[in-house]
Amino acid sequence: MNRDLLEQLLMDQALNELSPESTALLDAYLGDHPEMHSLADSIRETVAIGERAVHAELPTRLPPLPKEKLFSHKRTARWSMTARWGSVAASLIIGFGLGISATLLQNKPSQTDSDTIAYHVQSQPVSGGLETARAFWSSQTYMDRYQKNRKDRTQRNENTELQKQIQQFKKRGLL
Amino acid sequence: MNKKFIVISTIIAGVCLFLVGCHPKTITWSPDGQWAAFCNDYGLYFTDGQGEISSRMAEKAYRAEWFSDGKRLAIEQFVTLTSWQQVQNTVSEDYRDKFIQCAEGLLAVKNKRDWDEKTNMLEHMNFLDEDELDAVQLYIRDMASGGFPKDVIASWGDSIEFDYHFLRIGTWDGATFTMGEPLWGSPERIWDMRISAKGHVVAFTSAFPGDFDEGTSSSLWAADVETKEVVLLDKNSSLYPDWDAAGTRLFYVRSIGKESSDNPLGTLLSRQICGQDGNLLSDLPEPQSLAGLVAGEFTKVRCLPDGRIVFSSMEVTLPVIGKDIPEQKQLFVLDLQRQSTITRLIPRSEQSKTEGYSLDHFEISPDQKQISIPDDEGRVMVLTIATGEFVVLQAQKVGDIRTVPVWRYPDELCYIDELKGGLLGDKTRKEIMLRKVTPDGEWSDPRAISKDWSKEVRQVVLD
Repeated sequence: MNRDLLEQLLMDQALNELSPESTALLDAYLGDHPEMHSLADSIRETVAIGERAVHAELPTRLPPLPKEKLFSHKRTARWSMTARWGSVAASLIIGFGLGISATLLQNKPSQTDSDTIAYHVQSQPVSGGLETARAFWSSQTYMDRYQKNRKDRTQRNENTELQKQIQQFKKRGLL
Repeated sequence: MNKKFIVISTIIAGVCLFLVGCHPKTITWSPDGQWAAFCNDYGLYFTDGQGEISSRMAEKAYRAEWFSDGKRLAIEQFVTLTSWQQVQNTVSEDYRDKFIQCAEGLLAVKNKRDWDEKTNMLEHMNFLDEDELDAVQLYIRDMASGGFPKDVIASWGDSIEFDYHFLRIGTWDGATFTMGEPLWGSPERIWDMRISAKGHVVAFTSAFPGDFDEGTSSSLWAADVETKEVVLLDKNSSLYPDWDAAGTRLFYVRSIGKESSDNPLGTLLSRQICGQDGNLLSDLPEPQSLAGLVAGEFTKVRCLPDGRIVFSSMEVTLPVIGKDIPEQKQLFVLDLQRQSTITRLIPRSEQSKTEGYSLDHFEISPDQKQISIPDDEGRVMVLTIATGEFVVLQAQKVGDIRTVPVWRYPDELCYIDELKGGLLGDKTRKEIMLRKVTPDGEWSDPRAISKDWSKEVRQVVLD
C-alpha cells in the first residue's frame, strides 16, 4: 500500500466513512506495519482538532470580504455625520409627518420634490426556479459534487486494495 | 464578485444580446398542414396550401399557436384604449390600481414643466414602462386634469392610445372563426405560446412589470383552458419554453441574475406542471436543474418526442478572456434517457456557415430530422441533424425578417422571399414561399402562394 492511499484510508477512518470490512483490513495492515502508527495518530488528532474547531453541526461563516468592510466603514462615517444632524432632522420629520397627515385627511396628493415615486407591484407570489437555477451554480453544489466524486474514487481504490489484501490473506492461508 | 468576472460576464451578455433580435412568428401551420394562420397587428387570416385566403377573422391578433386537434388556437389579441373609462372597464384591478397610484404620484410632483416628453415623466417611475404610461396619462387627462399644467396635457394631444393584450382561445372550422373569452390580460405582449399535448394548458411567456427591487423581467405563465386558472410559474425565464411529449413537464431556461439580461449564466430547468390526466396541478413541485449554460432572454428550448431537448446557447470554456468568446452561438442536444450528456448539433467544420444566422430562432421539422434557421435579413438555411450539414434555401437578403421560417410538413418549409416583378422586371415583391424536399432528397423549386393576395392581406405578414 502506498503512502497516499494509506493517508486517504486513515482520513476516511477518522471521519467514520470507512466500511467495517475496510476498517478491519486497515487495522490488520497497521498491525503488520507499526512504523505507520505515528502517521495514523497524527491524522486522527488533526481530524479531531478540525471537528472541534468547525462544529460540523453549525453553518460555517466566511470572514467578510474587504469590500464589505469598506462599505461598512463608509456607512459608519455617514452615520456619524447623520447623527450630528439628527436633532435637526427629527424636528423636520415631525413637521413633515404632521403635514402628510393633514394632507391625507384632505384626501389630496401633497406637492413634493421627490425624485422617484414609490410603488410596489401587487403580484401573486411566485414559487419559481430561482433557487434551483442558482443552486446549480452554487459553491455548495460544487463541493457536494467534489466530495461525492472523491468518495467514489476512494471507494474504487479501496475496493482494488481490498482485492489485493484478500489475495495476500489467501496466499498466507488466512482465508 | 471578481472584477474580471464582471467584465467577462458583461461581454458574454453583450454578445448574447448582439447575436439575437426580435423575430416574430406570424405564420403557423396546423398540425395536419391543411391551414395556416397569419396574424399581425392588422388581424388574423387563414389560408390553405394553395394560397386561398380567408377574410379577416379577428382584429389585432398578434400571435397564434395551434392546438394538436387542428381546430383550436391560442391567440394573443389586443385592444387599443383611448379613454380612462375604457381602461377602467378593461384592465385587471391590479393594473387599474397601479395606474391610479402612479398618476396620483405624478400629480404630487411639483415641477411638471418638462413633462411633454414621456421620458421625463418616466424618470420619476423606473418601474413603469412606456406603454403603461399611456394609461397613466389617460387617467390624468380624463380624471385629474385640474391638478396638472394645461399646456403639458395639451402637448399630449387627443391621441393617447393604450394597448392591452389578452390570451384567448379561438376555434377555426375551415369557414368560420369563433373567439373565446379572455383568459389573461396584461399591458405586455405575449412572446411565445406552447400548448400541452392533451390541449388542457397553454404555457406562455411575456414581460413582467417589476418593482424597484426586481425591475422588469420576462415571465412564464400557465393557463388552464378548462378552469380558466392562470398561474405565474417563474420570472427571468427565457422566452421560448417547451413541453415534453407527454405534456406534463415544462422545460425552460432561467437566468440566475436579478434581471433577465444582467447575468449571462442560466440553468435549464424541468418542472412538472400537469398531471397524467393533462390538467394543471394545484400544487406545483419545485423544478429540477438539468444543465448550466450561457443564456439570454431569447435562449430557445424545444423538446423532441424521443425525450431529447434541443437548445441554443454559446460554447464557452471557463475561464475565458474576451478574445476567446465565440462569435457564433451553437445548438445543443441533451439526452435525458441515456447517459445525461450534452452534444453539439453543429459540427465545428460547419459552424462558420452560421455566421449572421440567428440560432435562437430555430424551428425543428415535425419529423425532428431537420432544423430551419433564419438570419436577421431574411436568409434561410436548413440543418440536417443526422449529418450536421447545411443547405441554404434562400441566400438573398430580403430586408427585415417578418417571420421566422415555419414547417408545414416534415419535408416542406414555409418562409418569405423577395421575387422580381413588374413589366421590366425591375420591381421586387415579397411572397410567402413553400419549398419541398423531393423523393431523391433534393429541395424543389420554391412555390409562391401569396401572389393573388390583396394589399390589405399582404400588409399582415409581407409589407
